[in-house]
Amino acid sequence: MTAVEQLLGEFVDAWKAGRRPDVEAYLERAPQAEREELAAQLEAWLQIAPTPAYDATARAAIAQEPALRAAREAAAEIRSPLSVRLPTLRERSGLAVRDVARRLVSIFGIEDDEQRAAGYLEQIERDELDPGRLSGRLLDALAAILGADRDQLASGTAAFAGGQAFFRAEDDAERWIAQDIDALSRAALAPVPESGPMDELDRLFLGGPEA
Amino acid sequence: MGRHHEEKLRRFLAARDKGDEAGARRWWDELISDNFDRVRAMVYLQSRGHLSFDEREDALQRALVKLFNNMIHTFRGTSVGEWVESTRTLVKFACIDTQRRAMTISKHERSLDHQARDDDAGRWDADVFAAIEKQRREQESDENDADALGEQQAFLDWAVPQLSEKRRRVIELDRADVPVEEIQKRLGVSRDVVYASRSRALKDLARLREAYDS
Repeated sequence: MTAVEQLLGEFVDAWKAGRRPDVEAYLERAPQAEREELAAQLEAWLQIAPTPAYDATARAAIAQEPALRAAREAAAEIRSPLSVRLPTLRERSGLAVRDVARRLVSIFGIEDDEQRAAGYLEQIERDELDPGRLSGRLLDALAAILGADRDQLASGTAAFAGGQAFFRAEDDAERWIAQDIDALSRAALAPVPESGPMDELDRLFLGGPEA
Repeated sequence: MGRHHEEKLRRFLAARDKGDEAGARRWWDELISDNFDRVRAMVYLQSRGHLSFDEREDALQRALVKLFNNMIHTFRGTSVGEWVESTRTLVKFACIDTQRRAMTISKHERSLDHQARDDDAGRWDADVFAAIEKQRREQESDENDADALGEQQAFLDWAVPQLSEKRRRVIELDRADVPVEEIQKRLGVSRDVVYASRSRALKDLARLREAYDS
């Protein structure tokens, strides 16, 4: 039997028994010339391996894994509203709103708009501006200024909505459908609110992800 | 892949379909914890030779955070096998993303004795912004590729029937979580034969995977 067959066999047996074998340690045990072959077979194993039924000790050890705990915390932080994340990241960078605004307008070459940019940033921090309207370019620029990973500034994770929610007519369905149609008709007939064309700064803050 | 894990996935899917966020997150969290070793090992194997120790830890974080926050919404399968397949794709792109980010940072890193002045900061911001923009476009393209991969027929349904009889039987018993002693008994062979058949089957699967992905 070859070294690869023996090491792989031991790894798989340990995996199935829930003994949490370490890939790196097994690769180090393989002769240098056979490491790539063992790595390829371990990779193939991980794609078909059953998830072990860990005992209580192993489960407790996994729960205490620093990488898992850190990722869970980071994921929870990213799920918090941007109005919470932005000031946290800004304070970590030691920047005031005005500093961020100055660097932002400098990136986009719109230095005259520094004060308005600061106003928009304050609106985000006060949760007065819909994060879904922020452009991807703006988030990239903020990530650059704040030294953050772009994912930390993403406008928010998708909302949980029933994936298979089907319409079921209740007793008063006709009444509320009529009310909705009435409201939509009135909205369609109403004059368009007056507003000037968007400039570059408006597009960054209000134009949506593609602006 | 284990009946209890299929059950956890089933409960997750039911909760997500109902819009029960707390329930869905609870089962999803359990699936990630149960598969933590798998994810870590996948990151290690995917990144060896390409990423430093710190970058590998970063890739693991990136993969886990995306599992917690993104794949919980985007996963479209119904079996743990499909979950593992999606995770494999996610890990691959987390490693690529980490490598790109490491290159971006090293290109634009300021020296430790750098005295920040406003005009310098502006130039540096613009450079990093351009790099992040480029990275985002590449990442979006990767995610489209990942979606396309997820729509393909499950690899194993295609590959396992192509294995020779003995190798296929060993792999099927392995997938069913049967201990090696039981495999020996059922097939009437020694442990060495099980180990050799398993190794050759996985070698075949690795080769078939390359053909399947290309």
